[in-house]
Amino acid sequence: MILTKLYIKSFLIVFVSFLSVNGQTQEIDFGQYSSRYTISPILVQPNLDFGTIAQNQGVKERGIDEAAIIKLEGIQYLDVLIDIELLSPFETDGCSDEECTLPFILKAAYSNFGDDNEISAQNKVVHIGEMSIDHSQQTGVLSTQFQILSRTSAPPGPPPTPYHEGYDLEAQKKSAYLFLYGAINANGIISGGYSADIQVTVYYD
Amino acid sequence: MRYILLAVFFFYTTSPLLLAQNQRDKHVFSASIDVRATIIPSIELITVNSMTFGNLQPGQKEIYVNPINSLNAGFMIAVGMPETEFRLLYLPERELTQTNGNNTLTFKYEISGNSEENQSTSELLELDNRNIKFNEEGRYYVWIGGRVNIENAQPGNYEGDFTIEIDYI
Repeated sequence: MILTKLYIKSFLIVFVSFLSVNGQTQEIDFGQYSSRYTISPILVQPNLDFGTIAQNQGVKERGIDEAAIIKLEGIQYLDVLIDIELLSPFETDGCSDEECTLPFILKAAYSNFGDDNEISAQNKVVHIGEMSIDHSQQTGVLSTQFQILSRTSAPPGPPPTPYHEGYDLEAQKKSAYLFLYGAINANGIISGGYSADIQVTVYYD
Repeated sequence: MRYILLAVFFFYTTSPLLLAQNQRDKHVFSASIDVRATIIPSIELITVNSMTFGNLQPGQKEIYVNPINSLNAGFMIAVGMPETEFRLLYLPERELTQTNGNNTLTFKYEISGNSEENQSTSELLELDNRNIKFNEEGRYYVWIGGRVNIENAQPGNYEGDFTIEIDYI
């Protein structure tokens, strides 16, 4: 009797799990089901360089016109998911104390309006957000999702043509731009060279 | 039997997640941005000696303190980032005000500088200097002198300031 009850419970569990598998297939996911869609992140400006600042001189900003820039060449009608991650604090070599950790506000924006170059793209951006990194909060992530080419305010168009033999995917590519900028605060920080890495990952939804 | 069913359950509940993760891993593209900044020490100005005039002689018409060779010259040390260029400027003329009266004297400053602590080999500095830098220890030495006409000066004590500005270029 006890054994029978166990079988019934197990059957129900397996049945429910089958339902969950079927539920996954309800979404049409162009990015997931085609390895032919590629995206090329191109480092237009690979550095976010705050230059030199004297101790206790306060805040130094780098605006969007001085930002690090990544160009994303991808399929215009697909959404991309972006993670912008600061993997380590903004420190000087050999020291991880509070006075060796440069407070840093990282800001990010994107432009997906079909511009051919980053200069014109800078004039029309969507702000992703900002995060503060310092000795107490040493890492962080900014995430967003957008279509490579914005629909702006137009209603959604018809579904895109699925990939087939002879279909020119390259013709469907457009450029979007990602801008990383921000500010540092030199108050109470010891002198030295400070560096950090921002890892940007991009994938189709 | 129980373990087999649990294994089946585990497979069916995790396989879609693993599949999605696998698919996603295939299509992740990444880029790395280098962030950097250089913090340099703020500049300090240390006054070691103030300028003095010594004893005046009867009938003396002018006081001149040579910044290069006079022991009466003022002496200051600027401390900053080693081997870093800076800009130095100063006001060449200042009024000295009588402490117990309304009379004034105009003092014309002359200053000299050296990356070594050696007054005799120091060089006269212009009003606006841009091609000087701190030595290996982050120091630069400044001697302050100048001249003042006392031909028509009223007896008394006079005092005034000397303004020097140093900034990183």
